[in-house]
Formats: sequence, C-alpha cells, structure tokens
Amino acid sequence: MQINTQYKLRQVAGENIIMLQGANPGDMTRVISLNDTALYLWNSLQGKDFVPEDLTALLLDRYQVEESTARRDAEDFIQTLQQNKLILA
Amino acid sequence: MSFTLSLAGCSILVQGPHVDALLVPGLGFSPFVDSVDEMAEAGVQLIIREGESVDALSEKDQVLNVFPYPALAATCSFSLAADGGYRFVMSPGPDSPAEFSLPVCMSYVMGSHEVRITPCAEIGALRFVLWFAASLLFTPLQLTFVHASTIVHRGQAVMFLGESGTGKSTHSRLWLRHIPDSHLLNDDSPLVGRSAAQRQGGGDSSDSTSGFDAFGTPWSGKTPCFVPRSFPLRAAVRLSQAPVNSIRRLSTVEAFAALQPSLPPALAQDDRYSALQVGILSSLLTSVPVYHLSCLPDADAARLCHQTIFHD
Repeated sequence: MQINTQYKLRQVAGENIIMLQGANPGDMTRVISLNDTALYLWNSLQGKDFVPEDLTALLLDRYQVEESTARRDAEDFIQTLQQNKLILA
Repeated sequence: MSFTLSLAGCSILVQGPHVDALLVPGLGFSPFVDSVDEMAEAGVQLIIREGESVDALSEKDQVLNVFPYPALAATCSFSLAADGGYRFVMSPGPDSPAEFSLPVCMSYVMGSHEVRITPCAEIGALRFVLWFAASLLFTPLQLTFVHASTIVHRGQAVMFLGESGTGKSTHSRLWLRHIPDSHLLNDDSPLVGRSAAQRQGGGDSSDSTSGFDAFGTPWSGKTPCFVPRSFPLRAAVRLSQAPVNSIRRLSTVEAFAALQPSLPPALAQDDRYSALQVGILSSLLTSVPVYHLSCLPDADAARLCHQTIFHD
C-alpha cells in the first residue's frame, strides 16, 4: 500500500496538519493533526510501497517499546489513514 | 478611463473602457479612490486592465474549480493554464442580464502584479471579477479575503465566520446595538493580513496587538459598508446556531479548520494558492485567538462574546 500523494503535510503554527477533502465551501475543513510519532511514520513512508510490518519495524527502530505495542500502534495508524482515505491499496 | 484604489497599503490602478461605472456612489469603490494613505506611495503597485484580449482556454489547461454565481445566473471557472498562468472565466447563462451576454475572461501570472480582463459591460459581473482579481493579486502579498462580517470595538476588529445563513450579519448587528463603542467595518469580505507597516519592514514591535489587521474593502455583500481603514484584528469567532449561548476557545488545529473554509475556496484548489493561504493562517494563528460561539440571535450572545474576547 502507499500513501495517497495528493495529500500534503502542512506546518501550521507549530502543528503538523493534513487537510482532507472538504464537503461544501463554508463547512468546517476536516483536518488530521499528526503527533510526533505519526509525523515520523508519515515522513518515513513518503513515496514508498509498504506493508504493516514496515511500520512496526520503524517504531521499534526509534522507540523503546514491546513488539506487541509497536504492532498495535502501527495497525492503529494504518487504520486512521484508511478511514480517512489517505491510503492507496 | 482609470482610477487608483488604495487598499491594504497597496495601490491598484484600475483601467479599462467600462471601469468608470464603478465609481458611482454606493457601489463601494469611490471611498477607496485617492484615500489618504501614506503607505500607498511606497507600497506595492498592482494593475488591473479591463478591455484586453486574453488567450482562450485549451484542453491542456487544468480546471481547478467550477462554481455558480447565482446573483447573475452565471457560472465561474478557475483554471491553471499549461504555461503556469491562471485563468478565470465568468460565463452568462440564459437568465443573465442582457448586458452580460459574453463570457468575461481574466488572465494572471503569479508575481507579475498585473491582471488582464476582457471587456465587461455589466457592472455586477465587473465587481465580482475585480474581487477575484484582487484575491489573486493579494494572496501572494500575504493578504487574504475572509468570508466574514467584521465589527470594530474600541479600535479592535472582531470577525464573525460561518456558512451563509448562520447569522454572521445578525450577530454583528447585535454588537452594534448592545455593545457600546462598536461599529461595522465590513459585512462580507474584509481583507486580513499583517499591517501595511509590518509588511514593508517597519512597524512597531512593542505594539501589543496581534500584528494582524482587518481592512475594509469595496466588497461588503448586501450591506453598503465601505470603510477605507484598517484595525488590529483582536479575534475571530466561528458561529453556529444553538438553543443556548456558549463559547469556547479553539485549539490551533480546530482554529485552522474553522478559518480555512472562509478563505476564497476556488484558490484553495490550486497548490500554490493553497500553500499561500495556509502560510497566512499559520502566521495569523500564532497571535489571533479563534473561538466557537454556539448561540441564539440575542443580546446575550453578543455580551457573552464581548466579555470572553475583551475581558477574560
């Protein structure tokens, strides 16, 4: 799977934000805000074809956590991306 | 025929066979003509030329946004041309006024400071086309239109945002009636950006205001409020209708989500303009608080809003 390159990360007043496809003009814009871990994963996966195990490995590489924790966090991250249609299968 | 507008510290030369009609009192432009503004001389010179010829669109051009303009039964389209320039076309429909019989086309190259427009004899169409031209010219200068009704209280501006029909103008009117020392700056489309002095490298860094100003403009929707002045921007407030009045300060991320849809939506479909809009908001959000006011259209809503912004 790959991240949909249509979605760009923006720096806004110290926050890392991705703007999602809006509804109508004037409606609140839907945004996702990335914390440090999510930002690290997002940046590491840019332009790459990846599988969930790749994210687990990235997290274990950087953080002192149990493998089961890393796997769960990786799955959560992918699920968030999928729910918001940021992933191309 | 031509005149020069002074707007947000910029001089705009407006030139063309039909532009004189814009100077009729009540249309909004005359208060901005030759208004006293020491910054205008040193400021950015922009040019809008009507009555020109503009290259036609081709299939290689990328259509960014198509939207209706119901007041004139017209359709607008905004495109990125294959050569990197922008095109905006406003096309009449079967129900458009008789004077608006041909499409009006606009061409702009970012960084060039000049917009070209084909002949436009219909005054309403020309006013809107000029607004769009101004949004293309101003955004790279760190100034943006915001779809908001804006009041000034004790010399500081507060913008009310929200979808059409949510009660922005109503809320402004409640301030004018119930909050002393308040007046209207603009009822539909003010400009927002760093103060002219700051944009030109001057400005007083010990000033305790946000560094962002709201500017009156010739475009004020249905309310003829044309104020050639600027005021420090104290806050922005997103409104929604509710059975009980309550107000909440928004986080940076929420504030971005609240403000971004109120910037010109057609421009947000272009990568370069979207990045510019995000940059302006990023600066603004470091110093301007944004609130969400859920409210009834009553005096208490205005009092709650005023108390929170100015006294909490």
